[in-house]
Amino acid sequence: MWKLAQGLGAVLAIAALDAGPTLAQQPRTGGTLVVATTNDTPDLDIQKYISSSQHNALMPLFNGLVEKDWTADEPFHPIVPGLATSWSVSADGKTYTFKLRQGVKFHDGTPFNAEAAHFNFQRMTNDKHEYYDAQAGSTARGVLKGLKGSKVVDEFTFEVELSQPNAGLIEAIASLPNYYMHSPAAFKKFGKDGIGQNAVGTGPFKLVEWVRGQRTVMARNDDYWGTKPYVDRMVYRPIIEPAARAAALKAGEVHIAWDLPVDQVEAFKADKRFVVHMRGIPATKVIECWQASGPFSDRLVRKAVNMAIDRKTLADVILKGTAIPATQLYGVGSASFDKSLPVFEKYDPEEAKKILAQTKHPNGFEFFIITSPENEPVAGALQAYEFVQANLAKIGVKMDIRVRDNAVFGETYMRPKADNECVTFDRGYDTDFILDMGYYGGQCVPNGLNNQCFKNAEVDKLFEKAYTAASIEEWRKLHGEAQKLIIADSGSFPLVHGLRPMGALTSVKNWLPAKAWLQFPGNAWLER
Amino acid sequence: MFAYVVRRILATVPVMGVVAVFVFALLHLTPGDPAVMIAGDIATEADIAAIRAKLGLDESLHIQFGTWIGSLLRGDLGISIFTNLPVTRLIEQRLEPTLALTVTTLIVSLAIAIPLGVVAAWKAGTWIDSAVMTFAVLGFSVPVFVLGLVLILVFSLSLDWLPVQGYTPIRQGFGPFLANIILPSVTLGVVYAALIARITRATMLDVLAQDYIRTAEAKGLGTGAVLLGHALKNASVPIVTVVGIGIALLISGAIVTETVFAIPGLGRLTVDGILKRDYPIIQGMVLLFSGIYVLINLLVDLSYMFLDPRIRY
Repeated sequence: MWKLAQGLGAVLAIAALDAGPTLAQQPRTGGTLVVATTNDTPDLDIQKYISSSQHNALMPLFNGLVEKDWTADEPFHPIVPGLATSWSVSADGKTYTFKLRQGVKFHDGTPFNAEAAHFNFQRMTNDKHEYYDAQAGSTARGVLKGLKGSKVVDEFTFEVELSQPNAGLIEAIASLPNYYMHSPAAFKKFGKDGIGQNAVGTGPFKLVEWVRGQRTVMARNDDYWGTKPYVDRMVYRPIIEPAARAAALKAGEVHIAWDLPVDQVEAFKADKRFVVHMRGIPATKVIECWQASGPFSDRLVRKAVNMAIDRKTLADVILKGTAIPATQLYGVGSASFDKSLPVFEKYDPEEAKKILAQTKHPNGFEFFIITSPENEPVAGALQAYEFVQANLAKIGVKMDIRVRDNAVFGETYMRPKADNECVTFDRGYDTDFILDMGYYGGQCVPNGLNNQCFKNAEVDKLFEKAYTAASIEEWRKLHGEAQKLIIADSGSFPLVHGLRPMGALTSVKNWLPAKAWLQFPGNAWLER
Repeated sequence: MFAYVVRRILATVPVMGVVAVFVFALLHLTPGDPAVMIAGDIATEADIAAIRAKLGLDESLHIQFGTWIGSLLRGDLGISIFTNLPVTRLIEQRLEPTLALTVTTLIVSLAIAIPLGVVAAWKAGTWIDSAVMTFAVLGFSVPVFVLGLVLILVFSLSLDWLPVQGYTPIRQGFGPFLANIILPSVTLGVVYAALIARITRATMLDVLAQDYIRTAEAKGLGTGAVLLGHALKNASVPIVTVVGIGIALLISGAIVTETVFAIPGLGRLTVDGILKRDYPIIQGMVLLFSGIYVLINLLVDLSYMFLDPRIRY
């Protein structure tokens, strides 16, 4: 989020704390920054999937109407202007009007204006539009409840229309690159299907070459409307195997490596050639169990299980400090993360046994979790679940771990489950919408995404109130209250909050990982 | 011989047909739905149903199979569900690294295994024999990914001789190509070399016990001539057979090796296809690998004629 770092003061101050005296040096222009990422993008269409590998790969090439400064902690992840310089919402909360930035050009030289913004929104909302994409549409509408359409007011004024008020609109379009802008001319040139092979945006970098599975090469966009990158080029190399990614950093073949393996973090920290950041992401590692029937429908059973989990040892010893004990459902990198909350249920196996004795399962019971470690970016998933398994055995609860690949997991998640069935997640998004998505009683699977079928009437009322909230702050406040009720109800089993260890050579300056899934290292410069 | 070759090639058609039926049936019976994967975790049932319909996955299985076989017969392996690109183009993009890896692996492993096997048989019962057999057992037992990471640790990180990962096409210079391909080839080659060294030793031991070897030695031929001219040549039919069969080992090993060394080859394409249930990719890759396997073993059979003049087809 290069473009987001324009309120540079706060960012530089934080970077200075983090990187010591290095920022006193004059930034150097030039060089090629090589970044080892965790996966390649499936294609170059930024609007189709909610996929961090895709969004990360493509974000340097595109811009949204509004964006977020993910590196800023105070205020936390503020929304900053992107292709829109200002915005307002109508009294009924159903129309958002954006004043667009003038003089911006796509990489193909065509101008960005209200027509271009309208074209992109029509692609997501109007199934009669020539370039409508069902997948982009389902994602866009899935995130933004009530998204109806868009309108050109004049050359640089653009409106987004909703069928119902949604206080989360600005937050959503700032957080998710699904709403970033393609060049309409590129659609006409490359066709509906060809857009996936040709990225033409307005971003700080232009695409030079994408060799699938091998590298994405980007060059500085010298006509960029915002502050231009220092490096001439940035190369993303997807290295899937964590040990190989770490080895590439150690050998100096890459400047930055994302997601270092848990067991190598200490060695990297001890080595002066590297800097390791663990700033946190929105992800909370959580076990979610079916609550419509079976043992987990009893709040006391859930409370006993929560009390039997030793989250501190899990975070400090098993995950070697790459995560912190869970205090809540939101992750550290979420704007709604409530710093005032204590660790989720005090670890007390004896008390847990006593509570369990008051239920229908005084001597324990058996259940199973379905887990897909490849789907969980917070490293050490299996070790974590094996540790929880040992914890629960102490109160007589037997947990079976069933590992499935992502494809099978996806189906499991979407359907009603067996009485003793649970799934695991690294739950959390760069927007704050995990709570109503996962805990709204009216949205039990398969009709919604409340996959454990958690139900609490008080919580539902707060969510319903939040949908019509006047501002995102009020929306967050209501969700914060809902979260406290869910915690009191032992609504699920959050284990740890991931910190995401990211490594770099010390020659990389002015880089601070975002507390988000989305990462943009393109504002870094390289020491000679 | 020509008639034999034609017969064998024709015989591959039903083999590939059976493979096609099996791979299709297995894939569609395996749990996991590509539409769910594409839709992501905020999609509704209706969104998923729409994607399923768009991909033709809502058709009954026999219609899907018929459509696939129909395009297959036209040489069309289908369109990848996730990348929206023809599978043939994806294979084309990824073929070179895998081809380079397997050919260099073959060279490396034969260059290691044949001399080791011959020497072990020649010095049977000595420490040299024991050392070679220890290498063979170890080579076969150490998982490919462990060996790969150990080699990276030693040759890339400690000695700084070779790059850690990546692939450089040969057209960008033989030096960089070689630097990138050595470690993966050795990693993959060791397990293959262990297999071939063992079979070479065993076959050579049999041959060296034959009367004609004693005759050759009695008439004063040098050790080299006996070992290579008489023994190895006669031992070569079983060795070449194992080389052919071992191609399957190379293909499965290539998948792991490509992951450890971040080589964008067919192995990685296959794994990604499987993880995402990208049916056209998996089907195409299994057919391709089966075809290669059948053809290589045909070549092996044909090579017998040159290795043993008594064999004629």
